Amino acid sequence: MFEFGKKGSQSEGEQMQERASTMARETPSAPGQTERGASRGGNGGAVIGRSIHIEGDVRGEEDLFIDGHVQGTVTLKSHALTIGSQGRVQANLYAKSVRVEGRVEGDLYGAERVVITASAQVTGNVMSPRVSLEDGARFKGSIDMDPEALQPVFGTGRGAGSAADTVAAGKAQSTSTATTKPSA
Amino acid sequence: MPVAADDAARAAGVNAGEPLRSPLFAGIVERLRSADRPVVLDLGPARSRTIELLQPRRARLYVADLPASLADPTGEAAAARFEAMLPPAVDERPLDVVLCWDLWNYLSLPELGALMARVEARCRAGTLVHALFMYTHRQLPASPSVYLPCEDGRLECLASTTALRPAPRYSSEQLSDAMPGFRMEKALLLHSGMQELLLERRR
Repeated sequence: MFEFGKKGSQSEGEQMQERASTMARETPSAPGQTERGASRGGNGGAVIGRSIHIEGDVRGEEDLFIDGHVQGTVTLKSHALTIGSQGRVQANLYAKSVRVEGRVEGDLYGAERVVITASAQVTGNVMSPRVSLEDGARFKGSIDMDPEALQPVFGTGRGAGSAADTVAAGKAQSTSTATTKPSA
Repeated sequence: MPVAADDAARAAGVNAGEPLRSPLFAGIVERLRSADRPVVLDLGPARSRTIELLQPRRARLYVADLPASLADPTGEAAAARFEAMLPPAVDERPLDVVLCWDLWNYLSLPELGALMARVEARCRAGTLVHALFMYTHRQLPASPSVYLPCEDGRLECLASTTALRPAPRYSSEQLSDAMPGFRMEKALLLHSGMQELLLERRR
């Protein structure tokens, strides 16, 4: 179950998250992506749909697919993050693996892998031991392929853990938070 | 008037589909093989093969994608434009290698000087700069070509357009004057008519 909330207003946040979750699952995907978007929302993790706009921190413990707008920080502990082709993200992203098909302005930290597809537009810095970028992608920034450089971010275990939280919390200056938790 | 793709490729100094033999670039690849955590600035667009080449070296690759930025002129002075076009430095680690591909062919001498002055500020003594500069042919593709490095150090060139424009063919003196912070280390005239240049940041 999702939990979204403004700082200091958890119950209101839960309601907001609940609505966002429902809307995300009901949001139609781009042509040709309906099945994939639906399956991700239904079975493969959480979805932030095309009509959703989030300003703040997004944290979670399940895979997340973003096809909407997010400004702030996205931190997933040991899970995969996908920015869909309709996704517009202005945020630093911390996840076990990050896949970008849409637009990202911000830094991408992939504990295991970062994939930038041909349709992606990324402005920022990528840090991951394994980076793949499809020709045709628009990228401007730096790509750091040194696993040791990730240790201050993810800790020695390389899972997107507490150190990532610390870094993310330190960088985020957002007005609200959104948290995802696995369904009970 | 559009020209055939083969003509554009010939004008670019390459044979379409056949990787370009580039000994100086191959030398850089060899040096990178023995380097640990090298820092590389690619002035061209991000390419999968460049990343694959650098990944085992635990490298940091800065991608400027200047051709895309140059296609969108802002009217600012060259120095300010190029400062904004270069990706910001992550930390104090200086550049070890700068890959210019054929970009210099598309810049005026003042622009070239302004760009390389910005680049120089992020170099250390001995930083290597690699570039391809049209030497023999009077024309070249109207916009920068895409270069894909091969594992053996050759370069596969994909002309981005079939339209042609005059090649500036600056002399080595003009280039040196525009980039006083760099010393011409080697220059090879490739069989195709393209000149391969290797410069080093002065000590």
